Amino acid sequence: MPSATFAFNMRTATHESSSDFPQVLRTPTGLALIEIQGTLHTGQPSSDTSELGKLTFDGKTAWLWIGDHQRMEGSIVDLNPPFGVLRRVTRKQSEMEEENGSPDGTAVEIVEVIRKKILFTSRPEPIVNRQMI
Amino acid sequence: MEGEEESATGSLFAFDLMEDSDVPEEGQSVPSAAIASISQPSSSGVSKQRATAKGYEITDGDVACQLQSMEKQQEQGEWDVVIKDSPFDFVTNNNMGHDSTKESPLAAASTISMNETHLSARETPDRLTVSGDTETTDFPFRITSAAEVDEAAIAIEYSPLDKIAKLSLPSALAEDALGLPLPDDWHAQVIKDAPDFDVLPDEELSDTLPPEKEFDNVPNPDEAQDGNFAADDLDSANTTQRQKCYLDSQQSISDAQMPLFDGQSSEVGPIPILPHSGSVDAFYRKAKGSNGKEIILRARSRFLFNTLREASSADKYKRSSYGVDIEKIMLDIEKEDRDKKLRILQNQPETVSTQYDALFTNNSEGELWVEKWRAKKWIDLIGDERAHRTLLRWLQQWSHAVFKHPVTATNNKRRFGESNAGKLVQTDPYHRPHKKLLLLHGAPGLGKTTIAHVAARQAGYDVLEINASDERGGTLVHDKIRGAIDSHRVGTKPVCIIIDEIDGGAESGFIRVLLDILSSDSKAIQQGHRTSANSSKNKNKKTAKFLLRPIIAICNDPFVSALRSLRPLAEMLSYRRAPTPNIVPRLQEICAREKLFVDSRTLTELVDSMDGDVRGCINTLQFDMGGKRIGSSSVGQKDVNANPNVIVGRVFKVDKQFRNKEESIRAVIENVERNAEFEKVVTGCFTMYPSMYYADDMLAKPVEAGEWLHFYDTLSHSMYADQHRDLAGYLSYPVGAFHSMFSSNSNSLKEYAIAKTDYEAYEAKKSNKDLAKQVIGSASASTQQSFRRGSTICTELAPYLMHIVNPKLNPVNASIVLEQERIMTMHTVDVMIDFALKYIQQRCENGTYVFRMDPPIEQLALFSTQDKDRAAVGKYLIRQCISQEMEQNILRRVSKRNVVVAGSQTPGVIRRKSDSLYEAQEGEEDSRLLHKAKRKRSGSNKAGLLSSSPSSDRMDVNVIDPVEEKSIKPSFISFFKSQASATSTGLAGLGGHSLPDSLQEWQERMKRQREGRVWVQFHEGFSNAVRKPVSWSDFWRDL
Repeated sequence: MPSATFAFNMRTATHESSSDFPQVLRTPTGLALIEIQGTLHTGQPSSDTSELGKLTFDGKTAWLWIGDHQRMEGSIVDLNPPFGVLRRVTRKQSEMEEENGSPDGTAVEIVEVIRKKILFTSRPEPIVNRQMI
Repeated sequence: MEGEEESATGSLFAFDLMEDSDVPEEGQSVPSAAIASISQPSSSGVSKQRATAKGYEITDGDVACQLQSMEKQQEQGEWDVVIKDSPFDFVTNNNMGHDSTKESPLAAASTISMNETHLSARETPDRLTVSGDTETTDFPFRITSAAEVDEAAIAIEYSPLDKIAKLSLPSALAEDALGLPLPDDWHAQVIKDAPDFDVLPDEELSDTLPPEKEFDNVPNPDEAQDGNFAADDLDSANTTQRQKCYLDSQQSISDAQMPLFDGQSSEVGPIPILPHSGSVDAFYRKAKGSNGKEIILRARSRFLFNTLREASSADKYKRSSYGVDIEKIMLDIEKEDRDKKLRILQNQPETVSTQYDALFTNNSEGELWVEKWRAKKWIDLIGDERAHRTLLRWLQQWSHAVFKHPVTATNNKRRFGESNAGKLVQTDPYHRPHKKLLLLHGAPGLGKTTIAHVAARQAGYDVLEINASDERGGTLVHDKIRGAIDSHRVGTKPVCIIIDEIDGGAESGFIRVLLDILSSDSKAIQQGHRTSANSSKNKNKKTAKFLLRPIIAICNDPFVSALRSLRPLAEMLSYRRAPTPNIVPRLQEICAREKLFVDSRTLTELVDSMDGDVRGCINTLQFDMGGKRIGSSSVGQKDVNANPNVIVGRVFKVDKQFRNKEESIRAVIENVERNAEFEKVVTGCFTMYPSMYYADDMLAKPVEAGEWLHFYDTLSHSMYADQHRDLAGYLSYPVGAFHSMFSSNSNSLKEYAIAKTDYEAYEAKKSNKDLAKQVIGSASASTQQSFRRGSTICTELAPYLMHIVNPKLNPVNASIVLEQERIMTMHTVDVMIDFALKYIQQRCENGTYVFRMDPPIEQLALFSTQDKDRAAVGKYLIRQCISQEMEQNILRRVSKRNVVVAGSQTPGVIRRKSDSLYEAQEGEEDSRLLHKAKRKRSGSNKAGLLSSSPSSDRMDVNVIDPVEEKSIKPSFISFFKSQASATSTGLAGLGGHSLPDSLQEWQERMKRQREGRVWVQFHEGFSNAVRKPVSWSDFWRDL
C-alpha cells in the first residue's frame, strides 16, 4: 500500500498556484468547478491554452459565454463531499528525512478544498455576435 | 299408501339365491318365526299396525331379503311387502313414474303359486312389492288367500333379470331337506353347458317339500312368448332333484320355466344391474328340472356384464347394421300392416291408415307440404343411399364416446379418415371418427337437413338444430354450441348438433367458433398424449376440452371461401340427388294423399326438371297444382340460374324438342332473359361463333352477326350510359339471331371455353398492366414522363428495350472481348441498371440454367421479333456476362456514393450540398479519404471482367473514371462536385484571380472561424457520466 505524507498547508496553496498548478477557477470563496452538460469543442485541440469564453456572476446565478455564439446560464451549487486538490511535492532527500516523509520522496500537500461548483444544465442559448454580421 | 312409500324410499332389493322351494300345500305350516311384520291398517289408512320384520338370512354371505314391513290394507284386501336393503341397484332407462300401483312397462311380475295361495311380486324401479289378494282376479298379481301369508315364513327371492319373486321356505326346513350332496359331475355339466352360471350350493335345496307347483302364473300367453329370451342360458341349467336324478339338460330345455316379462319387455330390454357393494353375483337364472324341480343359477361375475350386454342388444346384428334396428323397423311395419288389415277387417274408416295421417290430419290445413311430408323415420328416407349409410356410420363411431358402447372391431376397422392419419385415430381416447365435424353438402332441396335429423335420431341423439344464417354474434353462437356440447341433460338423450346453412354464417364468426372447438379438441388429444407420457402430472390443470358430441354441418356449396378453413377439418360428405324412379313413387303417394291427381309421367318430368330437388317438387305440387289441375307438360320450371356458358352452348345447338325454328329461337331468348347476363352470353356468342359449323358460302352470316352485335352494343350503351332501361327488353334478340344463324346439330361447345378466354384475357391484361407499371416505376423521371400510359410502354418502350438489352454479342471466351462488344455490354448494363432490370438465374425443367429477366419485360414486348425462349436460353453466356458486369457496376456506383458520403463532415439538412462544398476545402484529411475511395474503386475495376484500363492510384480527386463518367447520369451531386473541385483548384493555385473577392473573403473568414471556434454541444437528457471506483493506489501510480 503506497503511502504519502500530507502536508496541510493552506498558505502555500493560496500563494503559489499561478505557475505549476492547473488552472482552476478561483472564486472569492476559493476554487470552484464548472460542470457543463455537454461536450466542449475547441477548434485547435493541440494548443495548450485557448480562450473558452467569459464567466460572469450574479449572486447565485452565473453566465458562461462560450465562443461567440453561445451563452449558458448556470447556478452555483455546493459540492458534497467537497473536492480536495492535492499537489505532489518532491523535496530533497535530506528534507525528506527531516520531515520523516515516505521513503520514495513523495509528499503530497493539499492545495485547495473546493466546496462549490458552477453547474450549467441548460441548453446553450444562441447569441449573435456583432462580429459575424 | 303413504307409509309404504316412506319405507320404500331409496330402498333396494335384497335377495339371495335360493333354491326354489315350492311352497307346501298347506301354507299354514310355514313357521311363523320369520315372518315380517304385518300391519293391520284401519280403514282410514292412518293407523297402521306394524311389526318389525325379522331379518331373514340365508346362507352364502348375502343378506337375504328382509321383509321389513308388511302392510295390510284391509279395505283392499291386499298385502304389500316392501323389501329393503338389497344389494342391487336398479338402473333403468325407464323414466316412468314410480307409482307402484300403476302398471309400468318395467314392472315385471310373476306370481308364485303356493298351494292355493298366490303371492305376487311386482317390481317397480325402486321397489318390489309383493302383494296378496284373495278376491281380485282381474288383477293378475294378487295373492289369493292372504290370510295364510302371515303365518308363512317368506323368503323372497328375486332374480332381477327374470323379474321373478319367489317364496321359499326358511332355511331350517331347507337344511332338513338336504340329504345328499349333489354328484360332482352335476356341477361339471352345468359348467360345461352353461359356463356363465354356477349352480347354487345345494344346501339351499329344500327338498322336503313335494315338488309340485311351478311358476305358472303367466298373466297371458303373449307375454310369456315375449319374455323367453333367456332360453339359451337356461338350457343346461336344468337340474334334477337331489334324489339322484341326473341332469338331463337337453330334455329339460322344453320345460325350463321362462321368466316373465310384460308386454313391452322386448322394447325395454332387461334392466342393467350395477353391482351394489361390489358384488356382481347378482345375476340369477332359474331352471326347472325335468321333474319340475327348480333350481336357481347364479351368473358368474366375469360373465355378468357380457351377458348383460348381449342381452341388452338383443342381438349383435343390431350394432353391425349401422345402428339401425332393422328388426324393430320391420316389426313396426308389420304391426302397421297388421293394424291396417285389422282395421279393414273391422270396417273402420280407412282414413287413418298410417302414422302420417295420424299425425297430420288435424293440422294439415295451411301447412307446407314440404314440412308435412318430410321423412320422419329412417324407412321413409329417399335420397342418396350411400350418403345415408356414410352419415350413419360416422354417427355410429361416436357411440363409444357418447354412449360408452364398447368399441367394436368394425368400428375400428372402418374408421373415418384412417388412411390419412391412422396414428391419430389410434390414439384418440374416445375412439371417435378422425374428423369430428361432418360437412354434408349438396344441391338445395335434396333432403340434407332431413337426413341429418333422421340419422341423428336414429343413432339415438336428440337434435339441436342451429341455423347459421339466423344466428348472429360469435359469442352467442359459441355459448349455444358449447352449452349443447358440454352440458349433459338429465333424462334425455345426448345432443347431436346440426348446423344448417353453415355457409350463410360466414361473417358471424360461426366458422371461427367451430374452428375453436375443433382445435381445442385436437389440443386436448395432444395433451392427452403428453399427460399419458408424463404420467399425468398436470391433470388438474385446465386443459382443452374434448368434443364429445357429433356435429353435422350442412351447406350447399362446400367450396365457398367462408368454409375454406373448415374444410380440411371436416369429413366431407356430398349428397347427391336420388334417382328419379325413387322419388316419383313418393310424389305419387303424396298426391294420392292430398287428393291431387297427377299422372306419373308428369311427375317424372317434374322431378327431372327440378333436377331431383324433392323439396322443389313438393312445393310445385302444392302451389302450381294446388288448384287440382291435371298436370300438363308445362310443369313449373324452377327459376334455374343457368350458367351463361350453358346458354351459349344452347345457342349454337339445335334442340330437337322444338318443332320449328321459331319456337326454338323463342326458347333461346327466354333462356337468355331468364339468365339476364346478356353481356356474358353475347360475349360468349361473339367468341365462339367463328369456331362453329354453319353453312355459309358468302360470309353473309358473319356480316349479319356483326350487325347484330353492333345493335347490341348500341342498345347496351344507350341503356347503361343514358339510362334507357326500357331497351333491356331487346337485349336478348341478338342472341336469338345468333341461334338462328349458327345453330347446328354438329356444334358441340366446351362449356368452359368461353369463360376461360374472357377470364384469361382479363387476367393477362391485369398482370401486364402491373408489369408495365413496375417497369416504368423504376425508370428515370424523364423516361416516366415520356411513357406515361401502359399502352405506350407496351408498344413503344418494351420492344425496343428488349432489343437494347439483348445486344448481338458473340459469346466466345469471356476474357477475349472486342472493344466494340465491351462498349455494347457496358451500354446494356447501364440501360438495365437505369430500368432496374436484373437477371435472375433459374433452373429449367430440363436441368439447364437460364438467366431470366426480372421484371420479365419480354411479356410486355408484344411486337418483339425475338423469340422469348431464345432470349432466355440461347444467350446464357451473354446474359451471364451482363449479369456479372452489372453486379460490378452496381458495386462501383455504391462505392462512388460512399465517396460522396465520406466527404461529409458537417451535419446538416442539405447534406449533399455542403458535402460538395466542403469536399474540396476540408484539407488533407478529406482528400486522403477520397484517394482511399478511389483506390478501392479502381481495385474493383480491375476485378471487373470487362473493365477499362486500370486507373492509376495517384489519380486526382477531380478526375473521374471515364467509365463512371459515362455510367452515372449527370446529376446534381456531380455538378456540385465539379464546381467544388474547381474552387479547390482555384484555392490551391493561390491565384485568387479566378475567384471573385467576396468569395475569397468569405472563405478566409470561414477558415478563421473554424479555427478559433469554440462551442458546446449540448447533451439533452442524458449523461455520459460513469461512476468508476478509483482505488488509492491508482492515484499514486504515476507518482
